[in-house]
Amino acid sequence: MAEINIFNYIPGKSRLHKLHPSIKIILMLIISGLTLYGDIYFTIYYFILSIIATKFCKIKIGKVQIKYLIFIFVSMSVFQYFFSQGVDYSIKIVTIILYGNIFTSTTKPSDITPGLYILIRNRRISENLSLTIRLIPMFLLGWSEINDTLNSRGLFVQKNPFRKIYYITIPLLVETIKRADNISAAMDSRNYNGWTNEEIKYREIYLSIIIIVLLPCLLLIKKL
Amino acid sequence: MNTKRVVFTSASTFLIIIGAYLSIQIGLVPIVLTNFFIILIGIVFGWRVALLSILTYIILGATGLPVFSNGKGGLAHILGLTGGFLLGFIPLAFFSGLAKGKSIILRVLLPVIGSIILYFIGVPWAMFVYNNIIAPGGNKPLWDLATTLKYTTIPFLIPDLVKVVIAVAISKILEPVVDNFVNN
Repeated sequence: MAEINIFNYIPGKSRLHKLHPSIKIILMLIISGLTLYGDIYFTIYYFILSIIATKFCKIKIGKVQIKYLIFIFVSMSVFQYFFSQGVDYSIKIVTIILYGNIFTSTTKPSDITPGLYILIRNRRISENLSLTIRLIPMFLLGWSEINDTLNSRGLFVQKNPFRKIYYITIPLLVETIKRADNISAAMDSRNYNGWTNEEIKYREIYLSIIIIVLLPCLLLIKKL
Repeated sequence: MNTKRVVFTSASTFLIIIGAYLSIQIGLVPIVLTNFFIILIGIVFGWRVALLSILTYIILGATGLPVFSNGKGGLAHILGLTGGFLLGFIPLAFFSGLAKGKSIILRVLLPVIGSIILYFIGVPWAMFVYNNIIAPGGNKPLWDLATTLKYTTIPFLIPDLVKVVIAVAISKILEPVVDNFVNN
């Protein structure tokens, strides 16, 4: 757990890094909708596209994450084999996780706020959203510490679920609040005052990426 | 809004996300701690922070990050079978947020009212989606009200009540600590 660097921003100079964040958010919405509701063709297309994009942007997926993805894929396939569309469903979930990873690792947390502000015109929500994406890895570290501590004390062997809830939630709450307090002190000392609108001006709009993502929509038109 | 409030809002969003992953198996139905954390955040931080964090959670999920239960995410999940329950979290957060600083009876009553509204939004939504999108049958809809209640509501009623009680109990301990952190 300590090696988790999924959903972290990784600096780079690829086209996806330079793409306008608002367009990235809209494309993410379209991809997630089409992947889950579309045919198997959509799923396979976007799955291959996500792997290409991961290679293209030089996002390093560590051994831990690949193990995690394979574990999700295999366990879901085995579990759902007896029901209909087992493998299809697992590919969908893995694809969505990969796109989430691509989005967070190619978009600066400070870019998400103005990018989202253009779409929903609410400053507080967009500010909170970018801050949450930025802070999730930090809070996750605290959670992994608690998890390790509880594992080493053998809590997960116990069968009483209420005791489990008690032992998990209380340290989680205390740890999160403490971390939030530390982070806010650090932010205050660095003069944090929300976000600035300047950085987003230099973002570019690549028609090629938009066309590649929207290409399978031709299938939808054909169906109509 | 000062920096501390901003950071506490994102911390509470994180707690809601973690709550979706913490499922505890009791009997056949796994119990997810999302609404437990929403009620707790509402009672401890007030309705503004609770509403902001739940809206952020839903938008995060809509953009495709795997923040919903079992690593799901995406706009399709919000428009899907359990989407009504996700949108029903908004009134739940608002009503439990109104209970901040109130007496113990209101602290239990207001989240219960919020949960009832949650089911009033979620159950018709699930019925509509199942009958019209997932399994569009002929003249007779596959899920009538009784079947929908059997699958989506009845197994969760008692755990939800237990969650409200535990959240109120923990909020009593947590509230002075949080007030201390926020005000200093």
